[in-house]
Parts: sequence; C-alpha cells; structure tokens
Amino acid sequence: MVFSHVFRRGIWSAVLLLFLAAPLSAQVEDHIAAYTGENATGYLNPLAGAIGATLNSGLYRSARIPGFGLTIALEFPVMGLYFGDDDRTFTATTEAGFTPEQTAEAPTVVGDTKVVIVDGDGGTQFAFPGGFDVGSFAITAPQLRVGSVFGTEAMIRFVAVKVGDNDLGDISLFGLGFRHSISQYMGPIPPVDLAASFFWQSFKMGENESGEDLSKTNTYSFGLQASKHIPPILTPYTGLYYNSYTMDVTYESEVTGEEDPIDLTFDDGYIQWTIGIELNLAILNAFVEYNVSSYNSLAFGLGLGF
Amino acid sequence: MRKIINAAVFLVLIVFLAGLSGCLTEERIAEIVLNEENCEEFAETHTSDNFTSPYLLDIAAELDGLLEDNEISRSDIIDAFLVSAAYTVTEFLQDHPWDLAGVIMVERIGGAGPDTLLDYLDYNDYITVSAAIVGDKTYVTVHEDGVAIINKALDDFITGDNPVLSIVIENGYMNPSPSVSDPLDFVWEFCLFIQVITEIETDVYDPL
Repeated sequence: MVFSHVFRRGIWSAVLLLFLAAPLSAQVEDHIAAYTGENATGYLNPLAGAIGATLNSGLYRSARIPGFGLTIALEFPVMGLYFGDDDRTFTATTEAGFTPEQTAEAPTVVGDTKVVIVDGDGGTQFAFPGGFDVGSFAITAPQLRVGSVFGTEAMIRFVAVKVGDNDLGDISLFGLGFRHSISQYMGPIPPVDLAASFFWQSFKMGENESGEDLSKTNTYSFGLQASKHIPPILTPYTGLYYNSYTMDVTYESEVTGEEDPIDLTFDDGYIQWTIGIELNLAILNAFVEYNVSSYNSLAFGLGLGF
Repeated sequence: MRKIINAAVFLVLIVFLAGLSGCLTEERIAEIVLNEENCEEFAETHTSDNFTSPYLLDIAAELDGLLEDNEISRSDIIDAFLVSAAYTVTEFLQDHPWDLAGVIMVERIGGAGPDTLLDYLDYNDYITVSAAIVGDKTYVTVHEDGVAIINKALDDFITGDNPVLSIVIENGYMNPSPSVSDPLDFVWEFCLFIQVITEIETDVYDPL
C-alpha cells in the first residue's frame, strides 16, 4: 500500500518534469515564427541535439540478465545535459528581401536573450530574434523492465500528458526496446556480464498554430553493455552505443508577415560511451552515469524491482 | 529495512518535487521579433504614361493590430524599423509586356516629406509588367530619405503618437506608351516589410 502510494508520487514527479518542457516549446514557436527554414534549423539545432541525446541516455545499467525467471523493475531516470558555448550562436542569414544580404552570429534557442540587428541599404535594418539563455536541458520518464526469457528482457518508457491548453500542447513519450544477455554464452561464471540492446523512442512535444505536434522526435539506440557486480551493493557498468535521432518540427513562419507552413527535419547519428555505477539496496536501486558523445549528458535515478 | 527504503524513496521524491516547484524554471526577459508586412493593392488602368496611385498607411492601426494579435502592449516595444519594400503583379492578362518608370514617394501626414522611398527610373530598374512575373515578389532598393520618414513614424508610434503616412506611386514613363485602344491594365500590390522588437517576460526550463 505504501509502495503503491510512493509509485504514484514517482510517476507524478516524472509527469511534472516532462510537463515543464511544454512552455518552452510554446515560447520557441513564437521565436522561430520570425524565421524561415534555414535560419530556423540553426536556431533550433541545439534543442534537437539535446532532446536526442537525453532520450538516448539512462536506458540500461547492469548487464546481468537471468536466462529465465520473472524480473520486474520500475525505474525513474532523469537525463540531462549542459549546453556549451558553441550551442549558443549560429551563423544566420538575413531574410525578407533585406539588402545587402548578410550573415551574422545570432543567438540560438538556448543563446542570449538579446536580438542581433544588422544595418542595410538606405537605413533599413534586420533583426534576428534572441534566445532563452538556457544552460541545461533534462527530461525524465518512468520505464519498466520485464524479463526474462532465454536471457532476454523487454523495456518500455511511457508518458502522455494532456496539458489542456492549446498554447502548450500535449507531450507524449513512448519507447520500446529489448536486451539480450551475451554473457550467458560465456560459460557458467563469466568474468563480466555482457548484453546487447536495441531501443526505439517516439517523443512528441507542443502544438503549433495548426493544431499539429510542434515537434516529433524518433530515436534509435543499438549498443553493448558490460557490468560487474561487486558485493554487496556496487555494480559499475559501461556501454558503447550507436545512437540516432530524427526530429521533425512543423510551425507557421511569419517572416513575410503572413503565415507560411514550415517543416524542418533534424537528424544525427553518433557514438555514445557510457560509464556509470549502480547501488543495489535490496529492491531499491540508485544509479548515476555519464554519457560521452557529441552532446555529453548525465543521468541519474532510482529503480524499484527484483 | 522496508521502512528505511520507504523513507529513502519518499525523501528523494520530496526533494524532486521541491525542485520542480521553482528550481527547474528561471525567469528570463527575452527579445522577440514580430514581422509586419503591409501590402496595398492597386488596380491600374491607364491610357497615358503619367499616372499617380496614392494611399494612406495608418501605421498606428496596423501595428496596434499586430500587437493585439500577439497580446503585447505598445510599451513593450523596444524598437521598430523598415526592413524592405517589394511589389508583386497579381493580375495581368494583356498580350504584351510593359516597362514602367517612376518613383514612389512617402510623406508623414502633418510632418516630414514628401521624399523618395524608391525609384524605378533607371533602365535596369524599370518595372516590367508581364505575364511571366505574375505572383513573383520583387524586392526593391529603398532610399534613405524615405526610409527615415517611415522609421521616424515608427519611433513616434512607440512613444505614443499615431502617425499616418501618405504613399504615392508617381509613374512617368511607359514603353510602349498606352492609348485608348491599348490601355495599361494590371493589378499589383506594393508591400512594406517592418520588424517590431519587443520584450517578453517568461519562465524557461533550465533544470540543472
């Protein structure tokens, strides 16, 4: 009874954290409305990379998967990263027939809040919108792991939040993946536990003025994990992954003063190295990990299971 | 042991929720750019080279509408300025093209001007009205004196004035020359593109 109450609190915490990403998406649409495709891509690129990187972290820890038997774990990972100085500006090009056409270092969505203004012919000027001066990004979602059959377990992540405000839109995250023990083929007492994994996620955030999702992100992660349990409570682990993401953003540009639909696509594929440690306290597990990739990220959290 | 685990989980979640209450968001004052394109349509039917097409641009009415759409007040504006000017031929059904030369003047009603906003006097700058350019937006080079009148009107709008501009197309040459039997006949629109910079106060998600 107490645990079900605690679980509800945990899930609500996760929902709240995801919910807080919604206002950002609504504000972002206001800002990128001043841009057409090319500038909007540069403006949003750090956010797309951050979403892709954080979704692909905090997935797996101990590589030990029993051959058969019921294992269940409910986990609450928090995945986040800090933006670097390179993420704060991009090379933007003037639009709307401004002459002479010129480029400027303008703020990205996470950059400085001030606009950048350039001078043109005959006293005309062109302004590039400011950013939100954001230093970090984090998301969380409860995930459930269930195993195991032939050393294989399944995992799902799922959160759906109906914000109920048209300016904010809804948020949903669904992920599904599998993991298979490699160390089960390495003899009765393998030196380390090894597993191979695959995970797919779909993350939708915000709502544009047409009522469609402001952004839709699909991520894929293929990887290998290794861990070694050090009694009584420590399990250091590491993993090497190939991750990719595709993020589609649909919004109404007002660069010409009229609303034009703009579709943007961001995608990237990259190698990620994970190193972390898990504390195993009876049915309670806590972990912290660092992920090295083009967007370095940190993940930590709690898990309950057996 | 179970009580300890329960307490540990509960404490972590309390910390989590406490963080959510304020530490995850931070207040920012961000500068955003609003775009306003004011277009005026003209139906031109003329039998001589010389014609004028005037219109009044109520800057205050246009920008108040923009601010209302974005739920922003005039006091939130930091700056506003002209970005560019363009024309588009929207209807042309005649069987031969026309070259037009002239100027577009701007005047502040009760204030500065008139001054030249742009000209299409040079052979290379002629407006060629043909079926081929129907729907194409053509950006034109603007003159400093005319831009200054518009930008001053925008500055005065910010400080509470309600400026109105008179914009006049003064055409002075056509090739071929139109006549009663072969009149110039087309519809076009002239557009001014303005940017308005405003501040918004907002909470942003910055959790770490």
